[in-house]
Amino acid sequence: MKILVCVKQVYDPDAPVRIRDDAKWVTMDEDAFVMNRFDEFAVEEAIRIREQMQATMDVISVGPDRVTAVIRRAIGMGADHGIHLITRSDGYQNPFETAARIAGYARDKSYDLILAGVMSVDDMNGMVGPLTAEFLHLPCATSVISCHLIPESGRIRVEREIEGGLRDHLELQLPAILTLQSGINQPRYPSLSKMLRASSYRLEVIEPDSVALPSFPLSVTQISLPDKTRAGRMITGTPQEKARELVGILKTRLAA
Amino acid sequence: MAQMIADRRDIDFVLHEQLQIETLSKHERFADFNKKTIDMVVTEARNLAVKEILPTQKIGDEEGCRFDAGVVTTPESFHRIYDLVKEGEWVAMPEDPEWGGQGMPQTLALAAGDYLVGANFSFMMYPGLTHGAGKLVEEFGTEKQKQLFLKKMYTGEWAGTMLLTEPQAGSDVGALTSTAVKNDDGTYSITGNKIFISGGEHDLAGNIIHPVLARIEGAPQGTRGISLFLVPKIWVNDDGSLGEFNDVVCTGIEEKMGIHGNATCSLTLGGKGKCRGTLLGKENKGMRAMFLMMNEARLLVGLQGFTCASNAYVNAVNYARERKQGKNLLQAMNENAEAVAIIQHPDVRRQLIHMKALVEGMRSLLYYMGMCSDQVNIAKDEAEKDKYQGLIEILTPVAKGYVTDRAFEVCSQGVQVYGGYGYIREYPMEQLMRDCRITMIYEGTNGIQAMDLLGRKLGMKKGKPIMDLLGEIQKTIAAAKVIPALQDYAVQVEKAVNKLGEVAMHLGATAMSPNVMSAFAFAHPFLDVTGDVMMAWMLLWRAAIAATQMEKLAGSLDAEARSKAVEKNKNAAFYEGQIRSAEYFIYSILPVTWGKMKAITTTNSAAVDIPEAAFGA
Repeated sequence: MKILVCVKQVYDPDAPVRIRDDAKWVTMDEDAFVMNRFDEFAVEEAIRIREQMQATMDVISVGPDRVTAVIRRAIGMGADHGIHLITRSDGYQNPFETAARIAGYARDKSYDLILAGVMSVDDMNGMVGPLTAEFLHLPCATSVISCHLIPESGRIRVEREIEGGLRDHLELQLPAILTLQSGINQPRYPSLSKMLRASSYRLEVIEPDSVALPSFPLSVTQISLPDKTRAGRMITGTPQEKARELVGILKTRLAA
Repeated sequence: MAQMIADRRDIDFVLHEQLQIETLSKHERFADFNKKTIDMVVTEARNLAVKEILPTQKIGDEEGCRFDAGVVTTPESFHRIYDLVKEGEWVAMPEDPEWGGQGMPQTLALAAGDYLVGANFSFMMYPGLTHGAGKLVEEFGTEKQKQLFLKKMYTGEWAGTMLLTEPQAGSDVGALTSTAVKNDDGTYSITGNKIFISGGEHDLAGNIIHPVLARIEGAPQGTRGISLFLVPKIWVNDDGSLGEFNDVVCTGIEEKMGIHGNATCSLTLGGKGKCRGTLLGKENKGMRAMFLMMNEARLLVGLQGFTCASNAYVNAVNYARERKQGKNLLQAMNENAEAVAIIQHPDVRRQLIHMKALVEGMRSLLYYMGMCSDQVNIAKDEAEKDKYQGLIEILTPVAKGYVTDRAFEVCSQGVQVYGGYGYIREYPMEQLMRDCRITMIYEGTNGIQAMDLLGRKLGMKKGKPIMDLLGEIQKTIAAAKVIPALQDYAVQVEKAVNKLGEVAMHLGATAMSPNVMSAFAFAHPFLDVTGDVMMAWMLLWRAAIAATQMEKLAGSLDAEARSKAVEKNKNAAFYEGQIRSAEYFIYSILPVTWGKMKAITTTNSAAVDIPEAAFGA
């Protein structure tokens, strides 16, 4: 079993974001990047599969130099090998291009299973997984909340979360791509000894020039904060005071 | 982004800019620890601390430990985080990888501890004590003892403790009455009662290994007749398998002011005559073994107290930025003026900068001691090793005694910034203050620390450690003097250092005179002023680095340029904060230190002369 896990480095959702003066992108604190939470589930799921059967597990990320931190973190969690697909730009990353880069790398590597998070917490497009599947002509299941390999038939049984609280049960022929939803597992933390291995591990680095990409006409034209249509109100005081005030507000609103 | 537990930028500043920790990676022992690795370790420590351990701080306090018929149950949430700390291999970070450690520089282990201990120190005492007990096995154990116990302790599979205190033997360890009788098979039968044993019994690990101080039958009285034994809760057979219960019975746990999540146990050893131990080190050399481990243990307690202060400070700053109360003083007469965040009020700002300066100075001091420890390990010759070991010796009472005194003061000020909310359980401040309080007492009360500084450390090796320390401080002063904006800061610190030298000479001489009692009545004030001067040193050191960086960012160090840079650049704001911390401490606290030093040189004997009856009550 050969597994590839796609991880994205995202800006810490708790860190401050400022729109740049040209309104084309945002400024971010350089030390506030983390692994996309949904991709942590993918790394964990791959480790669990490898714990159950003979498997190797690679982790791949697309981005500027700083993204090596999340590749190394995945190795710290337990991945065997890391691949860095370098991009020149530090700004908006087009999901078509990201998927094309990943597909370009994976095409001749004979992966049985490619895992990714259901989406990234920054852009929330949820596109890289399905697009990669499309580029590679592989079956794909999104929003997976449980998966079970059936080695004898070379298939994987998955349960998907779909709209309206419903669940979808599918079986996919391997090789396949799954994008994982939160709750599928509890991602582990890296261990110190694995982190030390990760820090000195020589990553496989692929320069952008080595891949010919078709043109994907998707770009950022302007960034702005959404219009403020309603205001929140903070209730302060002791729990009793807060409860009393809340009851008062609810009564007034209900009466209206 | 509001910081939690500790200010990451400040940790990075001390590691990389002040102590230049990366230089350690030039040595083979620490070759793996380049900047990326160091940052990754601190990031993951913060991750684990903030996401998993910190949420258990309040729960652990409220739930506490329970005792029922010899069984101690820790807070439910502690089990998961114990496993995470164990699986993450955070128990014995600086120790030898062969035995389950990670070979990490002590300085980096302190930075990771800044977050991990700071997230819940009553919990982190379990792995912390295990590490300390393991260190005793590593230093003094036979090969067999190491094979049987060490890896399981350093990996957290088994826990560890330290059994010193008895009802009549607290600060005076020599008064202990636990006994050991040699058996034919080379083991010793141990009998005795121990109290105040942190983590003496709990449900987090498969076995608990107790290093125990006891007196072998017929050994001399006092500290000279004390030996150290390794006593497992469950006997460990020669093949490593677990044997029978070893008659170490918990008879109760204490109801305490703070650190409720840590079980403080009374233990009876050999109540049924079935407690066995093996000698750790040599007969009658138990106290020597303890002293060798004491510096590290005291540094850890300094870190515990410090992290309470660090938490209190970041919480207080965040709260003061959000809490709106009262008009800005300059708008006091304006009826339409709105309430402002309390960080705008001068008295709150005074409290915050006081907390900030102390927290920063203490962090630098503790990490500096970690760096001294790393330098001992990579010293090129004995002279260099002795120098850094001497610095550790002289600074240990400051890192434990002064730091925990000031940490408690910072926690108290944190409560004050929160006002009434600081005093109620809904907010974290009162717990930090309660938890912090023990650090001034255990691992040698701060009075003992003061006596250690005056009675042992000052005159140690004919005063070489204190002279080396003053030499190191002079280097910082010289570096600061060449920066015009800091020249007077440096002059003020230099004056204080010179005065401290005089005070030390005076008090040292008084301690050798018939006025010895009066001298020791001023031991604690002397610890206090020594600590103040160490803070001034560390803050000046920080300011010198910050001023250089600020000049690069702002173009000059004049007020307007600095102000503009601060508005635009968060690094400039950080460096400005460093310069202001030093300015505050040097011009608002050091003058008070001068007064305290004057009192010490006066050495008034009222505390000694007052008759006991005159204390009244």
